[in-house]
Amino acid sequence: MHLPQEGHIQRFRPYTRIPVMRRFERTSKKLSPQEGSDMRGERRVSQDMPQRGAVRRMLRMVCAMVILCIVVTPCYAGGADQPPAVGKEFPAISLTLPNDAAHRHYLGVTRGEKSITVPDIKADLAIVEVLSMYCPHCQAEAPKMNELYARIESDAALRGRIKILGIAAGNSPYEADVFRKKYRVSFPIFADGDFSIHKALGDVRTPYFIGIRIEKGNTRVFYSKLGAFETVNEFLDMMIRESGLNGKESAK
Amino acid sequence: MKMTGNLVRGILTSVLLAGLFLSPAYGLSDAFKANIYSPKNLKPTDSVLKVKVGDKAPDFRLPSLSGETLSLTQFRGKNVVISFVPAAWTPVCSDQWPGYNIVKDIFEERNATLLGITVDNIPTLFAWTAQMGDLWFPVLSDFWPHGKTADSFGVLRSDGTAERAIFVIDSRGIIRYIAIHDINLRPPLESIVKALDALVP
Repeated sequence: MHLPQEGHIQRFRPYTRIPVMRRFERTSKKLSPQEGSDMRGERRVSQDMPQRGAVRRMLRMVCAMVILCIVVTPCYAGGADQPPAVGKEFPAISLTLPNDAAHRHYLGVTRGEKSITVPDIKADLAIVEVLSMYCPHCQAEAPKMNELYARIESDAALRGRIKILGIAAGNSPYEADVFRKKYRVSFPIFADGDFSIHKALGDVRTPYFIGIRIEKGNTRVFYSKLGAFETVNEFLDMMIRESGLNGKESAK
Repeated sequence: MKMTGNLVRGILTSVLLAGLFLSPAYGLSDAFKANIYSPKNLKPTDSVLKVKVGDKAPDFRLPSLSGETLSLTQFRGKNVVISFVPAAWTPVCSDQWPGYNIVKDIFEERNATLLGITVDNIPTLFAWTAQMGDLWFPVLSDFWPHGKTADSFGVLRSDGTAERAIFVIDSRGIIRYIAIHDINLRPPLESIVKALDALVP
């Protein structure tokens, strides 16, 4: 249902699976006409219509499989059951823009847009951290994230090309703001109170980092990993290396 | 087409139930690794309140993680927020108190303290809260007699866990705010802050 990474907690099996399986077993079993009459809610299989009975059984089996897939697959509206995959596009999530002028400037939002998607951000590389004010590792990571931000902003070759975004999974705007103020975070943190962005990102555990290369309005995920990083310099060097940013001129 | 009707009903029920069961997302912290047990989606509330706003809060004496026994009356003169959470090592609870741990200032500015209570025993609470960092507020064990304090407030569920409940008790020991939250959802922090702000000093 969520947290699909390695070491994932016991995966939930919906109750609905049991009756479906029973139905599947019943319908796939070869039945005599007498047995058929015992089944609640099932059509009696007539001896003189063996082929129709077989077709029905097959039809029911297919339908049962479809139902099973629906039940077992965590399929949310606009959701994903896996985190963003390396080499793929970043999911087209809409981020409600902050009113904060500094944040709007940082993201390169010049008009009165209410929301943006990641490829709209004025950057060649976006580092997304999925976090929560309720997550101890995110709290511990906050000073390092600030250091990462400061390193980027103080480097003329990187400033404006690499942008950091926080997505506060399950946090109300108030809670996201508590986190931002507590750790004096300079980069924008988007509140995701209803977990809708979190779902679109595959219900990852926190903190989760996604590196996204932005080129000509397209996105390509080049890093997608759970867990805090070790050192700021190593992480930043790796981001630049993995993204292929080094040596290339800004696309914007 | 009885079969078709059954199938349509079956599919609709499956989709509905799948949505119902799969919808909770916890955004669980990696701090707990794979040690969190998922109790699936539970009945939102499962107890009958025994207190109401305006009542004197039932007193209790409970052992705390730090080794002391704490009573509610010893906090007279301070506002007290009690956070009952259902059980250690479960998804939503594990991502609740760590948030409160970074807002000590919000409580102090409102002359308030926080008491975290579960029905777990001390060793369990010790192991569980160790993942949360050093908690600034007392964590109390309502383990034995099992859930006696939760029951005195009317928040002991039929399976022996507690509700996800917030009580705000003013400096005179009077209950001023009660929120029994859906056990599957974390209460927003601002609901507690608003309740504290509503207290007249």
